[in-house]
This record gives sequence, C-alpha cells and structure tokens, in this order.
Amino acid sequence: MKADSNKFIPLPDELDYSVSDFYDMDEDLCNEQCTRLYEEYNDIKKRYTEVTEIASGGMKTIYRAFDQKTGRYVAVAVLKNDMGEETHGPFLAEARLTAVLHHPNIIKIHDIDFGEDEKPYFTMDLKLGDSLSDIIKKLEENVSSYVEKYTLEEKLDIFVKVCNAVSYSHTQGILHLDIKPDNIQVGDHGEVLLCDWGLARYLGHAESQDNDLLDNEFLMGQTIMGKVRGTPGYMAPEMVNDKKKRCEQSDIYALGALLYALLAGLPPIEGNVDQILKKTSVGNVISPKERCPGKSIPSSLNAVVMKAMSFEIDQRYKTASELVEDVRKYLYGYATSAEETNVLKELSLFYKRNKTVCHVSLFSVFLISIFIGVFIVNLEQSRDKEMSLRIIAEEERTKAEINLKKYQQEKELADISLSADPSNVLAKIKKDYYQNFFSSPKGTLDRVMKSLERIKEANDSAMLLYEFKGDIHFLRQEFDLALLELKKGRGEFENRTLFKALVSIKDYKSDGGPAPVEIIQKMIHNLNGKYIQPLPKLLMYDNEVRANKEEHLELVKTVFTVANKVSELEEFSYDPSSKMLSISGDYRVYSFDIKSDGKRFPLFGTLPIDHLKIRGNKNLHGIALEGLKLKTLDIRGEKIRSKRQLIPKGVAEKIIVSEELSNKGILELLKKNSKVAFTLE
Amino acid sequence: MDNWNTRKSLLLRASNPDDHEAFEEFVYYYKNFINMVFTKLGVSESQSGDLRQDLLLKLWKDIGKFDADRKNSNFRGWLSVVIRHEVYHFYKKNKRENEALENLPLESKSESEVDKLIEEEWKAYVTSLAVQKIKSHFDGNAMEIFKMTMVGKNATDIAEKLSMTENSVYVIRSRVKSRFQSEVRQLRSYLEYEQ
Repeated sequence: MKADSNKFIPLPDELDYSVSDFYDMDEDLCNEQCTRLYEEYNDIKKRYTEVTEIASGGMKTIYRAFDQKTGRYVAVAVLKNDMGEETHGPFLAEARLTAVLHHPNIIKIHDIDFGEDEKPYFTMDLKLGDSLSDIIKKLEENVSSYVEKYTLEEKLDIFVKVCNAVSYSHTQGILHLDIKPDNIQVGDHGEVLLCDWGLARYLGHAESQDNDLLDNEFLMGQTIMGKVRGTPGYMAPEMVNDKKKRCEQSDIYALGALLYALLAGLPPIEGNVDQILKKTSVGNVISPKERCPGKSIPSSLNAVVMKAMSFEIDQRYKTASELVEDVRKYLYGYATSAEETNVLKELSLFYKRNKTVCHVSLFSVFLISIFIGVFIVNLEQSRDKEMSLRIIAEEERTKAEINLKKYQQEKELADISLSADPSNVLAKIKKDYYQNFFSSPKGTLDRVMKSLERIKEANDSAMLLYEFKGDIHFLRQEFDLALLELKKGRGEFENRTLFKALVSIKDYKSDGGPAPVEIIQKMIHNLNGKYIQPLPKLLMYDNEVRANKEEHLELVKTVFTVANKVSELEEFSYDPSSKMLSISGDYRVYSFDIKSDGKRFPLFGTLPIDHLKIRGNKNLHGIALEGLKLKTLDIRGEKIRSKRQLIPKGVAEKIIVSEELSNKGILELLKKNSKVAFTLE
Repeated sequence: MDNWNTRKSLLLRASNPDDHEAFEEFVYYYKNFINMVFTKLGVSESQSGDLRQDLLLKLWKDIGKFDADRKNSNFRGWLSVVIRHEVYHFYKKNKRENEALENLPLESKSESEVDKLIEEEWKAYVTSLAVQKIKSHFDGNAMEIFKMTMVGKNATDIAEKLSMTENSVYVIRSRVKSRFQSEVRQLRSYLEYEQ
C-alpha cells in the first residue's frame, strides 16, 4: 500500500485500548461532555490570553491574542496608556463605524468593550499575510516567489476587491479617506481586507465631528501640516486645499493612486511632505507610463489611473464601480472608457481576446491541407498493395482459424477478468483454483496467473490481488516475483516469515522453469517451520514441471522433514523400480489440508508409490493416506490403539500388520469393515 | 482524506460493483483488523494466508446480509460472529483430521467470550484509527494532554506536568476531545454498515 498510503489513515502500530470507550459514547455521555465544556467556560477568568504586541500606531497598540471564549486568535486594538479620556470617544467611533460595514473585503470587528483598566478596546480579524505595500516592496526587490505569484492579473484582482469594498462603503454613506497600500492586507489565499478606518467619515455630517474625531492620532502622525489628514501622495487635491470638498471622488482619487502604485511600484508623487502636498494641490501628477518607461504598463490602465487621479473632481469616475468596470474591460480585452480608440486598436484587442480561436482556425486549415495531401498519397500506395495483400490474406485465413479456437478459450477468461467487481473476479478465480488445482496443478496455476494478470491490466488497485498473485508466484517457484507482489502490499509487515525467507534468496531470478533444489531448500529452511501450508502445493506443481525425479524426491523429503519439525529422519528412502517408500523416525504429520473443501493430500503424494512402509509413527490415521493409491501398506511395529486410527483409505490390496494387533481383537473389527486383506507377518 | 466527511459509507459503496476503490479500501481496513484478531486468537502465520483471503471475500459478500433492524443486533456483534465462526470452522475441520495442527489457544473460551473479545478489538481498532487521524491536526502537547486525560490524570496534574495553566488544559482537552469524537462518529458511519 505504499503508493496509496496517503489516501488511507495510517494504521496504528498497536491498538490504543484507553480510548475505546469513545466508540459508542451515547447521548448521556455527550451531554456530560457539554456540561464539562460549560464549566470550562465559567472557569475562564481572563478572556484573552497569549497576548503579544504586533503593531503600534500614534494612538493605539494592536495585539495578537487568543480569545478563550470563541477559541480563536484575534487582533485587539487598545488605546495607548498616555491617551486621555477625551480620546475614548473617537476611538470607539472608529470601532463602531467599522462594525457597521459587512463586506468580505472589509476587516470585521468582533467585540467592543472596556478592559479591567477601564480603557476601551476592540477586537477584530487577525490580519494574515502581507500588506499590499510589503508586496509592492518585494516586487520591486524582485523576490522571485512574489514575482511569480503577483502577476499583473493577480494585482488587478486585488485592486478590484479593494474597489468593491470602497464601492460598498460608499453605499453605506461612509468614506474611507485613507486608502493606501499600507492599509490593505492580502492573505495567502487571495483574501483581501481593507483596514484602518481611523480617518473614515460619514457623508453629510462629517464636518460636525471634524474637530474631535481622531485629531490626536493625526497630531502624532507623520505630517506637519495640521490642517491635512491622510497620507500625502494618496490624498486627493481637494483634501489638501479645502477639506470641506471631500466626497466619494476623494476615495476614487486614492484608488487611482493605489492602481498607480501597483503598476509603477512607486507612490504617485514623491518628495518630502511639503513638496508632495504642493504637487498634489496643483495636480502635478506624472503618468505611470511616463515615469516608468521600462515597465511596459498597458496604456489602457495608464489611462484609467490618470482619469481616476484627475485634478478636477468631475473629471474622475463618478463611482468606484465605474472604475472597476474599466479595469474589468482591460482584463477581458475590451477598450476602456478612459482610452481613445481606433479601428486598429479594436482589431488588435479582438485578436487578444480571441487568441485561442484565431490560432485554432489557422491551425485547422493547415491540418486539413496536410490530411488531404497524405490521403491522396496513401490512396496511390494502397492500390498497389491490394494485389499482394490478397495473396497473403489467403494464408492468413488458415492461421486465423487455428487462432480462433485459442481466442475462444482466452475470451472465456477475459469475460471473468473484465467483470467490473474485483471481488467477484477474485472469488471466481479462487473457485477455479480450489476446484481444479488438485487434479491439474500446473494447468490451473497457469490459467489463474493469466487471469490475475488480466485483472491487473483492468484494475491495478485491489491489494488482495497482489497477495493472491504472490501466493501463486510462490507455488510456481517464481520467488522473485512473489517478493515483488509482497512488497506492493505492506511487505515485511504483511508476513514477516515469508518476507525474510524470500529475501534470503532474492538473488535468484526465475526463468519460467523449476527453481534449483538448493534454492527452494534454502528458502524452506528460512521459513523456520512456519508458513508450511503452501508447501505440498508447491510439491504438486514441482512434480509436473521438474524432469529430474531424484531432485523432486529431495524436495519431498525436505518438506516432509520440515513439516514434522524434525531435524533428521531415520529413514526416508524411495526405490523407483519397486515403487516402495520407506519412512521411519519421529514424525507425526503426513498429510495436509490443501483445499478449503477439506480434502487432504499426503506430503509424499506426488511420488508414484505402490508400497508404503511406515515405522515409528505416533499418529497414524487412515484418513491421512487418502489420495494415495497403495497396493500394500506395511505398518508392522506400529501400535494401533483404535479402529478409528486405521481406516484403510487409499490401500488397494493388503495391509501388513504385526501380530500384536490381532491379540487385541482390533484386526477382526478392521477385517469386518474393509475389503482389504490383512496379513500377519 | 480531506473529503472524508462527505464520503459515502464504504459499505454502501460496496453495493456498486463499479466502485473498485471501495473494495480496495475495504481490504485495507478490514485486512489489518483481521490480522489483529488473528494475533489475538493465536491463529499462526502459517495458517492465516488463505483463511484470511477467504474470510475477507466472505465478509465483503455477506456484509449486505447484516440486518440492522433485528433486535439486539449491532454491526460489530455481527462482524464478531462471522469471524469467529469462520476461524473455528477452519480449525475444527483441520483438527478432526490432524492432531498435529496447533490448537487455538482460545479453545477453552466460550463462544460469547470470543465474540466479546473480537468486539472489543473492533472498538479499539476504530478508535485507534481515529487517534491516528487527529494526530495530524494537533501538536504534540495537545495529544499529550488528551492521552493523559484518557489514562485518568486530572487537569491540575496535567497542567503542572506540562507547565501550563489549568484553563489551557481544559480548553485544549475539550478541543481535542470533540474533534476525536467526531472522527470516531465519521469512521463508524464509514466502516460499518449503514444503519
């Protein structure tokens, strides 16, 4: 499962019983858990923990803190210590004003309250990612990750989101009045937040609040000119000249300046504060294209910037959505309203918008011509070929008839293999395997392997197949392939014994024929007496494929010894001429259940035996000889304790027993129940 | 794994023969469970190969036969009976004919005892999977707190040991717990028969 393991839950190394009570935790216990949670709530003495400062402005400090009640991190804005009570009002006003705004691109206020020190605070979304001014800075420094991420389209996307936020706030009658890259936060996943509504005003009654709201912050802020507030460079001229005139278009101007900064990587106007304000107040703005000729700024966007930053209020866009509309037009390849256009421009825009279609049309025409050409040439050639093919066809037909028969056989297999449900397929194959292996080991294994390979083509995912396929490879003595299948599963963890044994002979490369006896013996030896169940099947296959019968006998002996967990037998000898097998020693097992239907197979069943001589066996069972076709069975010296022990299955002519047996009267019983002759010797 | 919440129950998907992945997942989760049960029951490696494969196929085929409406019937109980029956059948059949086959160490236990043992194993398996699953969502401290709670340590001791406040222990513990519970719920509805 290595390749797929990330799809599944990793399996635990060992089970953790300490948590199993949770398996069927019923309602009552769940309620208990809820009560517990409730108690935990009551226990929270201090709501905000893990407080760390993240920013500090003129008037307030921003902290990051964990809100124990809601279980998340938030930003907390707190008035600075040296702020007098007169600042509480404006501070709360900013919070309330922001709280009014519900927009995905506007920062959210969660709570407004007074702390233990009786100072007001409010909490809001914790800003993630970078501020837009950081991004612009990184882009100017050519930081590669930023250059890759923030393409022109991406920047315009951010810009459009800011415009949407401003457009929304305007419909709520609120002006931001301090839109600039510093106040825009961009998250890693495209979240854009317009923040810091500290200078925001309600339209209409802006003047009445003018004198008290946030004056302090301004005084401690960055400009020396007491009558302006905002950020020089992004402030509209009317805010410098006559703040009574500020209106929605003041924000539009700032949006234009923002787009300017995004395109040029520079603020629209530079210099010291006085110079900037002076230039602003007379409308002295150099267009981004002129300022950065090396930056290939699209002229349509250049025009959008200059329209938004017009000196005259009524020359600017009427609304933020009008501005968005123009940016979108650029994105979709249409001429913007700010641009002066002509036919050539429209045509080139048409091409840009429909690049793919134009390319596809041209390419199709080209392809069609080639096809026609090739077709004509082929037509010529095929006429010549036709004659010669007719002769070959006759020969092929004969071959085909032979192949048809083969095909029909294959098809039957394929029908099984391509059946959709792999469990069904596997069940069918296993049935075939169980039913036919006994009578024809090699043919069955070959057929099963073929079917398995076919499923693998259709469905490479079912891991039970690997396992079964590995088993079949094992029986076919393709130990390297068996190891390969085992490794596809959980490898060593699946069957440690088998894995180790296979690894011990990993240098052996199977070639379709029987594996060398030493290799198999080494492998069996490394199984350490475990995993012996498949070995009789391996012998049955071996008997069919191995020409050298002496080698096969060696293997039978090895398996017999291992299965009986003895290091050495007194005797295990086979005489091919008389077909006599003699076993003596300390052993118990001589047959194995090899099929699920309970039929048994003697461990030496692959040898052609007419006469069997058994000595020293402690566990003789007639049933164990099932499957053999013995003429005689010699069990002299064996202690037969009950009739059940010697039901003469698999013996055709006579059983030779010792005289002891007759004394116990068991012989009479046996004679009554069988047609086999019992001889006393 | 991320769309776990919205996934159809594995066994419900099993009814669709075209859903090969369902079978694969079934084998992944159930095979390893059977391995664990075999270890518990003392089924030796040498005998488990075919038995396990056939048991898996049988479970996959028969799972639809589980009747959730029957009185006193639950999925894990049904699962235990099927597994116990197959294992015992396998052993009885072999034992009758071959005394050499190793005995099941659990020979002396009653059927209901074995069923109970398998059931407990299933419970532990599902909950342990859930633990594996939440591991990636919490840091080491959180898992530590959770584990200590599970073995009966109270919040005061845990707080002292990890040098954190008792409140944090409560908060973290309830976060991990509720996550864990929901994982167990999801796993159960995923791995067990739709009830």
